[in-house]
Amino acid sequence: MNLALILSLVAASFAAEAPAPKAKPEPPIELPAKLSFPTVGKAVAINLNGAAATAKTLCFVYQPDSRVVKVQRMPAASSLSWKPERHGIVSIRAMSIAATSDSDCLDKKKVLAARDVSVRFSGLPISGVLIFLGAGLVLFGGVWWSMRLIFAQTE
Amino acid sequence: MSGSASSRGVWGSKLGFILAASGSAIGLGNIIFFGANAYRFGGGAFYVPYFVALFLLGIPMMIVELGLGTTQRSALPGALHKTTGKAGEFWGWWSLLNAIVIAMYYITILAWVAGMLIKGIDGSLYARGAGSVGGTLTKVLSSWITVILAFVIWGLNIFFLFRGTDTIEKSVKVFVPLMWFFMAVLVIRGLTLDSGFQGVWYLFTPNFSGITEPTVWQGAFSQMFFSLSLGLGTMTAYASYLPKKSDVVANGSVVSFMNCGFEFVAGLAIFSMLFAFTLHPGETTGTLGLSLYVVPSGIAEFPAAQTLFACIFFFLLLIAGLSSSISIIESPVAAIRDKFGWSRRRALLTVSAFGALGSLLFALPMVLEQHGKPAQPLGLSLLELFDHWAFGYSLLIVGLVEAIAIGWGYGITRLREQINENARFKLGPWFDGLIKYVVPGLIILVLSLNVIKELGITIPAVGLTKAGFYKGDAGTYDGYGWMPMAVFGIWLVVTVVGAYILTRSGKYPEHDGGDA
Repeated sequence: MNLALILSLVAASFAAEAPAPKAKPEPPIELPAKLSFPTVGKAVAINLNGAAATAKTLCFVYQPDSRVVKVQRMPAASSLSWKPERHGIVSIRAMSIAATSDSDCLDKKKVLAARDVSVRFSGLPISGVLIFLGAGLVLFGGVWWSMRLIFAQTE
Repeated sequence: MSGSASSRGVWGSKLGFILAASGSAIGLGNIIFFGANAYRFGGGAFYVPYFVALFLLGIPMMIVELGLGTTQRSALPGALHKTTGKAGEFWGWWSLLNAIVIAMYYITILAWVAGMLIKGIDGSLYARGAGSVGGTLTKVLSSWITVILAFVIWGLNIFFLFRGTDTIEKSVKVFVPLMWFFMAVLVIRGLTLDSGFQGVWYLFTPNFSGITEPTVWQGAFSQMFFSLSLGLGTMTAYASYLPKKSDVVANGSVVSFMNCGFEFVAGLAIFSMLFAFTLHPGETTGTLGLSLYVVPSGIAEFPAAQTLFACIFFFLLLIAGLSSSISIIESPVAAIRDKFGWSRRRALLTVSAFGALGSLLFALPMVLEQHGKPAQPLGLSLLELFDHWAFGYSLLIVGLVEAIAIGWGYGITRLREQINENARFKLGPWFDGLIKYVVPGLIILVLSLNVIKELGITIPAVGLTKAGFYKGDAGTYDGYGWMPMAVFGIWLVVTVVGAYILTRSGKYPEHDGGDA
């Protein structure tokens, strides 16, 4: 059980006691206001403001902090268009360096600003549905099968 | 007479045992841990090693542990004594001493969960929206109230265990259905969120790019062992209260499938929420961080009734934790009674007194230190380190010992034949191969990868990149640099010496023992 989050949180929460600024600044990485969730394959307009405006590269880290991370990167500009390649949680990172490799995008020390978004599937993912049904069938079918054995047994 | 069925206790019904054993297996970790692991290891692709682990490791070892309890009618040390002699008994006691250590911090965590539940009920959890979750958590961790709550939860455990199987059965008949009901409420709420179903597809759609990494398989095998509470002695203790003619194969299967089924359902609730609110279980975010911070922060974004759902979530964690903690405490209580012939009351109060003092070790530093050194909470650091050794290693080591002792020492064929006498689904000779070769092989593989990491050997090709003696979160120990090694030393000496003393002391009343 790793408690890193809680540990950092305990320290961070003291800073959180400070009064919040009254005027809401523009988000450093701005997506269209009406867009709840981007969709795979559909272009999204992104504006870089404030701290992110000086970024050299914009990195898109798919499934961040996992063993199956995938990275998409593009040169940063004040306005640009991004077409999500994959579904799921994506960490959009404005990098202070011109990232030339995937590992550059994973270096959190070089991140000027970041924002997480959830990217929707473009259609119904058949493999996901099949695994969902198959796993449910095995697990609850197993419960049913073993319950039958137990309660069929005579005392 | 301490070893007789009448004085030891017996389950009142088949359902009572199923609920108790599944309640024991389903704990805090099941609600969050599976989803977090699935996220890290490739979503639906994680089901490949997960199911391999369930059928090759989980169900077979569950059958062995239940078989030991049912046929020997003793808790783990007694059952291993009867089957493999004093050497086996030593490992049984070692397992139970680790279970007591786990109970100490587990109940501290439950006290924190109860503290968050109280904050939910009094309305202060979301006083300033999602942003106040962190501050509330800090207050809960550093509050004297949670120290008192730790004692209250120990008191509840004593209450539920006071009359043995009778009170355990009554409590799980309330807790386990409630756990499923509250989880169903959270699933329905999660799936009805905007894009909630997308989270489900996200959880199950496979990404096979990580499947060739040994660490992914290591994660699945470890998860299965911890999730089913194998190697803790709880299943053997509970099975020792079953009638001798019970169907161990069916009981082992139903407990394993129900446990994994609950994880499956919990994954639906958690992932629909994580997707809808763009939260992700980070590489370093453990069960505690997800349970007490990430998920409550997600619930804060619900369009309505946030406090109600937060209370449901914390109440669910609390009852899941309680149904597990009573089984963790019951195993040493049953073992002490088996060997030393103590009354239930004496054994229970002695174990609980030690346990409650131990819970203070984790809860009190959070209160005393919080104001002076907010960035270095000693209680959490101790918890993290003890968890790493007592939970991360002892379960696997005991599992390995059980497989070798029963597989090669007592004879798995002999145990299988005893199990088959009352089983409707008969285990074939293939089961012997699983217990003698496959299970030990898999556990040795997982333990080896852990030890290689501990020794500081880095093998990027197999995903071993974070190497070195375990120190937890490196930034935590300013001023306590000695602590990781000290905790390791204390854990090892106390559990090994304690197990040795318990093995050498006393005598089993009905079985003079001798080495098998």
